[in-house]
Formats: sequence, C-alpha cells, structure tokens
Amino acid sequence: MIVNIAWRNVWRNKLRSFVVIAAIALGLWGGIFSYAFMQGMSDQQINSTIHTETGHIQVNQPKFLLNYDLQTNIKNSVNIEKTIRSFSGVKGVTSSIQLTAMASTAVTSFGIKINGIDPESFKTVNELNKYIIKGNFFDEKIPNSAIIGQQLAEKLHADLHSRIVITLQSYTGEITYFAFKVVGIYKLQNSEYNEQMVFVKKKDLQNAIGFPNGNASVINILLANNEITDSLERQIQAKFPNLQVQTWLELSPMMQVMSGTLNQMSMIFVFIILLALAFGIINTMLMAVMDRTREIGMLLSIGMNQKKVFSMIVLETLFLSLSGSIVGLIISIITVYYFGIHGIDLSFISEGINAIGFSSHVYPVLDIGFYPKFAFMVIVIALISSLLPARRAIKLNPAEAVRGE
Amino acid sequence: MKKNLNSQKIWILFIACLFFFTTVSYSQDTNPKQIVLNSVNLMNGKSNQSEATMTIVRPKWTRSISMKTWSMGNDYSMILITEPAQDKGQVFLKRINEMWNWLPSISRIIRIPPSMMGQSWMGSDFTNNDVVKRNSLVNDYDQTMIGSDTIENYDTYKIQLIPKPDAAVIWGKVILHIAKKEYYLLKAEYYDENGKLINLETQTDIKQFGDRKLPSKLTIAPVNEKGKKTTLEFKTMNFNVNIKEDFFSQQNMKSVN
Amino acid sequence: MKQYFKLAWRNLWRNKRRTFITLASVLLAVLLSICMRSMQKGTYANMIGNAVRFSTGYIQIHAKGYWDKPTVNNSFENNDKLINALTKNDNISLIIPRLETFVLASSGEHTKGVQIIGIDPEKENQMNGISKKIKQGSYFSKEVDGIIIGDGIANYLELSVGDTMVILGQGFQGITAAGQFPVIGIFHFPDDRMNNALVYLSIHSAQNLFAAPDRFTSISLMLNKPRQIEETKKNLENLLGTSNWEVMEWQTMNKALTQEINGDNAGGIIMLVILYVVIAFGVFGTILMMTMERRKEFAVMVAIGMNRFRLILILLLETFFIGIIGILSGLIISFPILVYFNLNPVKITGTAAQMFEQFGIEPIMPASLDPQIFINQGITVMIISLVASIYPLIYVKRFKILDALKQ
Repeated sequence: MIVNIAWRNVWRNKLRSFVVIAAIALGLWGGIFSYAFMQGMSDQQINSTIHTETGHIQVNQPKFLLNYDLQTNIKNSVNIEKTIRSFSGVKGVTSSIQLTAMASTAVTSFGIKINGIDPESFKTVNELNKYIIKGNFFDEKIPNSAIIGQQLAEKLHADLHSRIVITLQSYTGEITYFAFKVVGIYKLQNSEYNEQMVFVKKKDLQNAIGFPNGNASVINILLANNEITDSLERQIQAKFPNLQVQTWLELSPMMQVMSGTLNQMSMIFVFIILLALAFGIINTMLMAVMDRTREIGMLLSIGMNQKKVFSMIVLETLFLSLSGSIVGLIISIITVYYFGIHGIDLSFISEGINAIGFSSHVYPVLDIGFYPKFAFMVIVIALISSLLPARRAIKLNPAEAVRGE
Repeated sequence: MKKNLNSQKIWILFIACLFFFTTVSYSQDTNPKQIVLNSVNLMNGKSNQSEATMTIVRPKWTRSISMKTWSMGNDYSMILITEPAQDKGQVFLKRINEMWNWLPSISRIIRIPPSMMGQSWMGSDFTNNDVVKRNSLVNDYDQTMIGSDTIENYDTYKIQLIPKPDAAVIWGKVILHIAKKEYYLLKAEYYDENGKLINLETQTDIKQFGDRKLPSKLTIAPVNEKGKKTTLEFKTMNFNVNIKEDFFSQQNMKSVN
Repeated sequence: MKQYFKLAWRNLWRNKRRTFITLASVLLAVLLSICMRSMQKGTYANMIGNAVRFSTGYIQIHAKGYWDKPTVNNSFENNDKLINALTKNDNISLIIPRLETFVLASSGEHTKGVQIIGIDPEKENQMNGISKKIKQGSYFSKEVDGIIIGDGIANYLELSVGDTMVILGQGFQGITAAGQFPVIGIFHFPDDRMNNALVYLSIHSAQNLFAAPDRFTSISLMLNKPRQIEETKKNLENLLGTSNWEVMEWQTMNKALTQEINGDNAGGIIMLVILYVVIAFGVFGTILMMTMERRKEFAVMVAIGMNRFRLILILLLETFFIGIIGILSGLIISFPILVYFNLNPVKITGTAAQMFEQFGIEPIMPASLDPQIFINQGITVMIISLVASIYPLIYVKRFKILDALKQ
C-alpha cells in the first residue's frame, strides 16, 4: 500500500520529481564522468610512455644504460627477438642500436641519442610514426635519412631536407662523421625526448659505425595489455638471466609518482562531487517535504502512523533515485563513449596545452564494472540523504501542518 | 759551336717549358678543385713546423695563447701550448679523425670523445672539429668557378663550394677567394643551408716563410655574434721538415717540449 | 529603491527555513568548489616545490646569455650588492650559488661526459637534503673535500670512495680546466638520469678548477611565497637591469614540469566544471522548489496590484542577498577547513607514497591558501546563483494569476 502511495506521489508533482531525478542523474554523471576523465588522463600518460618511448618491456645488457656503450650490446639479438615473439601476449618486438652522439649544423651542435631502428618492426612496438608533424616516417628510400624531434630541429635551426652532421664513435672506437638528411620531424609530449632522440635506419647506422649485423643495443617489447607486463617480465628474465629486463615503470619511475598523484587526486575529487550530489538531494528533498507540509500533516492527522509516513518518503526517494540513476547511467555511458572516441580538447583552457601536442585531447575511459558500482553508491547516498527530510516530516505537528504557513 | 748548340738547346727547352707551363697554368685556371688544392698545399706543404699565437677576442676580454705546431699532410698534427702559464705544456695530438689531449698538470692523456668535438678549441672560435677536419675543402665539396674579384690588390678567383650529397660537413655553401697567381686563400665565407652567412675567415699580412710567401694572419669571426673573433698569427713556419708519422704518437706527446 | 531592499530583506526572513535551505545550497557550493580548487592548487604547488628543489629553484639569476650557452665564460662575479639585495627581499628564503658546466670525467680507460656542479655544501643541503642521499662515503665537511658522484657514474667509471677522478673541461676564458679529485661520496637519487650524469664539487674547488675565482654561473632562489614569483622576478629585473642579467623562473627553465602541471591543471579545471554543473543544478533545484512553493504568494501579490517588474526586482534582490550571505558564510567556513588541511595535509598512500618518499617528495596533498581561489570561486558561485534565479523571474513574468491561485 505504502509502495503504491509513494509511487503515485512521485508522479503527482511532475516538476518536483523531475528536479530531484535530474539532480541525481547529474550527480551520478558528474561522478562517473570525472572518474573516467581522470582515468583517461592517467592512462594517456602511461600509454604515451609505453607506445612512444619504451614499450611495455625493454631488454638490454645490464650495464648498457650507464653510458650507452656500443660494445655493451646484445649478441645475436635476432634469435632472442624470435624467442620473445613466441611468448603469448607479445604483440610486437623490435631491436635498435642506441648510442650517444653529437648533431651539428652550421649554427650549433647538440648532444643527442641516436637510435638505429628497423622501421617495419619498430612500428609494431612504437607509435612514433603517428606523431610526425612534417615529412614522413622513412617512407621514401633515401639513404642516410633521419627523423628528429621538433625541439631539436628548432635548436639546430634545421628543417625538413636539412643536412645534419652526426659525430659518433664507431664500433671499434674511432670518431666518425656522418651526414644525415632530415626526412621527418616528430613532436611528442615529452620535450626532453623531442630534444634528444634522433632516429635513423638501423642499416645506415650499421654501415656508418661497423656495428655487427644481428646484434642490438636494446630490444623493446609491446604486449597485448599492461596487466601482463610483470608476468612477462619474469618469463623473459627467466629465459635470459644474463640480460637486464625492465618494465616501463622501472625505466621511468617518475611516471609512478605522476600517476599515483593523479589517482589519489581523482578519488578526492569524485568524493567532493558526490558530496555536492548528497547536499543537492538533501536540499531538494527538504524543499519537497516542506512543500508538502499540509499534505503530510493531513496524512498524519487521518491516522497514518509515523513509521508509514517515514517509509513512504524513503520509498519515494528510492523511486526517484532509481529513476535518476537510470537516466544518469544512460547519460554517462553515452558521454563517456562519445568523448572516449572524440576526446576532450583541453587546448581551450590554456595555450600552454597546445605545446604538448597530442595529449591536449583527453579520452575518458571507464571499466564497465564501475557503472553499477557508482549507481549503487549514488542510490545509497540518495537514501541516506532522504533520512533527514523524512525525519522532519514525521516530526511535524499535524495540526500546525494542516494549517499551513 | 758547342756552346751555340747548347744555348740553342737551352732556348728550345726554355720555349718548351714556357709552352708547357702556360698550358698547365691554363688548365689550372679552369679547374677550381686544383686551385683549392694548390691553395691548401701552399699552406700545409708536405709537412710543416711553425710557431704561432692565437688571440681570442670577446666583448669583455681577450686572451692570447702561443703554440708550436707540427703537421704532416692533412692527417697528422701536434700542437704544444707554450703560453700562458696555466696552459703551458699541454699537447694536442690529431691522428686522422681522432684527438688526444696531454695534460701535464695531472699527467694524463685524455681522448676527446665525439660529444666534445663540437666544443670550441681552447675557448676560441675554432671547434675541435675544425682542428681535426682541415682537408675537407678539397674532398667534401664540389667546386665551381663563379667569377673573380680583387681583394687588397690581389686578383682572386671566386670559387663556390657545395657539399657532396653524403659529405659530413655542416656548411650549406662555402665561397673561397683565392689569389690567382699566388694561391693565397684571402677570404672564405661559410654559409648555412639557408644561405645565411655564419663565419667569415680572412687571411692577411703576407710574409716570407722559408721557401714561400704566405699570409701570416688568419682571422675568423662569427658574423652574427658582435665583438667576437679569433686570430691566428704565424711567427715562424718551416716547410717540408723532416718528421715521420711515428712522431705523432701518444708517447711523443709527453716529450715533445 | 530603499523600499525594495527592505521588502526583499523582510521576505527572506518571513520563511526562515526556506531561506536557510537555499542559503545552505549556495554555501555548500562555495565550500566544495573552494575545497576542490584549493586541493588542486596545493598539490601542484607541492609537486613544483619539490621538483625545483632538485633542479633550478623557483628563480635563477644568470649573466645574460648563459641559458643559451651554459659555459663558464657566461659566469658572473660575486658581488655583495647583489647578495645584499637578494637577502633583503622578503620573498626569498634561500640563496643558492652554483658554478656548473659540462666536462669530461675520466678514470682508467673510461671517459664520460658529465655535468659538474660547484656548490655551497651547506646551502645546497638546505635546499634539497642531498647529504641524506649519500649511500657511500660522506658529504662535504670542513675536514673532507673532494668530489661527490652519482652511483651510475661510479659504476661506469669503476670508481669507489677514495679513488681519484680526473676532470677535463674548459674554464673561464677558455683556459683548460683539468684536475683530479678524490671521490669522497657516492649519491643515489631516485632519478637514474641524475645518477648517470651529475658530479658535485665544493664551490671553491670548482672556482679553482675553472680559473673563475669568486664567480658563479647561477644563483638559485627558493621563495617563501611561490605564487608571488612573477612579482619577485620583476623586482629582480628592475634591480639588476636586463642588459647584463637574465632572471628566469622555473616555468621557462623546466619545460617538462610546466607541461605536466599545465596538463594536470587543465584536467583539474574539467573536474571543476563538472562540479559546477552538479552544484548549479543543486542551487537551481532549490530555487525552483522555492518558486513552486511561493506560486500562491506571487499570485496574490500580483492580484492585489503589485507590478510584475517590481516583483521581479524584489526576487532578484532576494537572490542577491542569499547569494552574498551564502558565499560569505561559505568563505568563512571554508577558511578554517583549508587552514586545517594546509597544516594537516591529506596523505597519499600505497606504493605511490613510497615512490614519493624515494624522490624526496612528501607524499601529501596540502590545501592551498591562495586568496585568488576564494575570490574566483566566490564570483563563480555568485554567477551560478544569479543564473539559477532566472527561472523564478521568467515564471513571475509569465504566470497566469488564476492558474496559480487555483493550486
């Protein structure tokens, strides 16, 4: 009976119910969307490290990262790559020669890290080719071509088709000079990377410095997903105990600090938004109860007991919050889906964002399991919020209430 | 009669020689690569030994460094610093593309790594690379004659150098002004790839050094940085001296004084 | 006009409960938006503070041209006038002189390019607590002088405490700077790039090595109030003149951090906008309910001859009063809360916290007390309230007396 009355009450005053439902829907949407947004931002930072820098896992000789010595290389990397490729969960494997060198133009010289890559296998691990802003990613068969970052190009006053002279050490230790032609300029979020990393074809570099064919300085591995990173790290390490096997997180510990902060901050923000939602509900429900003072007074005076009035109001809230949650979930799913594909362009907030390139777009993501969790949380919050107005209602003095204001 | 015949022979020989020389000099006129080579050879000889002072001029200070140098062809050279006191006794050795530095104050030889090759040599407007790569003007470029000019009363060839496609040189273009008769390299303009003048090199103060006359003062100035230049002034210069490749060794760096 | 004020004011207190509920919604809006923004700004400030501590400081002073060509030639002479002026500036908490440049470090067969930094041991330690990062040997002291190197360098050059490291570089005016120093300490920072590239000398050894007596390449400054960085920078520029000096703030020197913070901040603003949407609807809902409740009242007033526009004016004033009171009380209540969270910041937990500690960063999210936050959020919520009050205005302008009375 109470359920019936409560249900009818909800639809008796459509405007009021609409306001409450909208408040709940919006609150739920706010919580879900902001969480998805933060998740998207954090994922994006991690992904940009994985997909444009290290891959999920990097393999090299234990002392290699200390000084990028050519001699500290992986012998017979071709076979090792083959073995790693056969592990399940491995999506792409590429190997490269890495060494420090100096790039010069007529204007200035600059210390760089040169990467001799195999463009085809590199593409299966690294998405650098998507961030070329000028020229292309080794598409043409130009000998001794190089791809440099935008910042380095600016520092060297170099542009597409410019010649840069690279001074480096050959495999046997002599200083050698090589001219490379800039065929592509990339721009990543990481300005340090843009300034330092120069990419050339592995074959060209091998010829230039006499690096043994079939060896490599580092092997980078892309996996099907991030969850299996640790287990594959262990598998690869077990198979090649003499090599250093590191995950992207070990290679860039600063990422952990950044994503840690972001996660904790997002929790606090979602909490604040839910708090706002709770107060929104309390307020509207209080108003609603006040609006219905006379009606509730009537119910009390015709003998409806306090318990029943109390549960009526709580039930009303439950109906309202259920409807609100459904509406909110639908809006959330649609917006997260939409912006998950099209992204939110942050560049309108500040010009500085433009400078960070692709990450000026954030793509919200949310695990499907989070939706019901959030909805449940919002319904609980709504019910708790309804306790105060419900208590108010049963405290009303029937006589006064009926008399009105 | 005999005498006459002799003089006749001499005459014929003389005329033949004249002929020969004019044809040679004619072909040299039209071959800019040869002109550049002649000019470089004039400065270097097969081997040479010299004393020089380098003056670094900066807007707020100037500094002079005196040195003794030995060189053989383009690939080997050794420089001993004799002044000022702080740097005295330091030796630089260049073998092909490599460079070592002997530091008596800590009695060590240090090999200059590639990452340091772009740095300035002794604080001057020369980089370590400039010191190491002197033969580049002949081999790394395609030379074309683009005209003639007059610099300080010398008639000069104006020769344009464009780097060969895969040559490891930083310049986009170099223009040399070489005296027609004497092969003095009086002026060199170094341009970047966009055609902007970066460095200007001039050679002046022609003096007699042993068997040849040469500009004794070389000045290099970065055009876009006001108040900066470096001059290299040769005090003595001996050509085709008796040194061998094994002179340019790390062991010899310590005892060259 | 005064009359309207009175009328509006009296209206508010006629139905206290309703007014309080509306007030509460505005108050909470201010409170929550201030809390969120303050948390964001505080966390960024913490991250920035820690990052600059390990690098450039908030502001660095160089001789003009140093930033483009960081050589000892672009150093400047220490002068008391400069130091005095810096000491007098209230916002400067720490003055850290350095003489740094790129050199070759060598031992045995190995040679490696490193960044060498001549430091004032005491001040540098005050700035970043480097003495606690020494894992072998010791930090500089009166008795011990030598060179302190990163563990990556030690590993590569096969050096341990007590061994000798050879340094070769270019000193002032191009003089060859060559020296050998005993390794007195080996440090380990969380960032391997620092471990692989940094060595420290005491500033006097560095000045001797580079033939640059009493010269610095930079003076780093830590600030009491980092948010007044622009002001301090301008002060210094006026004081020193820009013809011979460059005064740079961390934003210019540390582009990566600036990008990171800008990106996070943009995200923070999106979160804030979402919060505004939720808040705005809360306020709007309350005002909508209030209007519905007062339909009869409005009808009666118009019926007895009250001009609708006057009624609108009165309603506007009511909203304005509620807005002002709500916002002011929100500001007053939020202040002690923020002070509390400023002094007792929220702690970051889990593995992230360990990471923070390794980096020498306190794992906290302190609240910021920047007055700008209070002003901005107050104004924003005021605008939200006024926008929300458009609904009752439209209603009053349009409603039909009879319909309203019938309810």
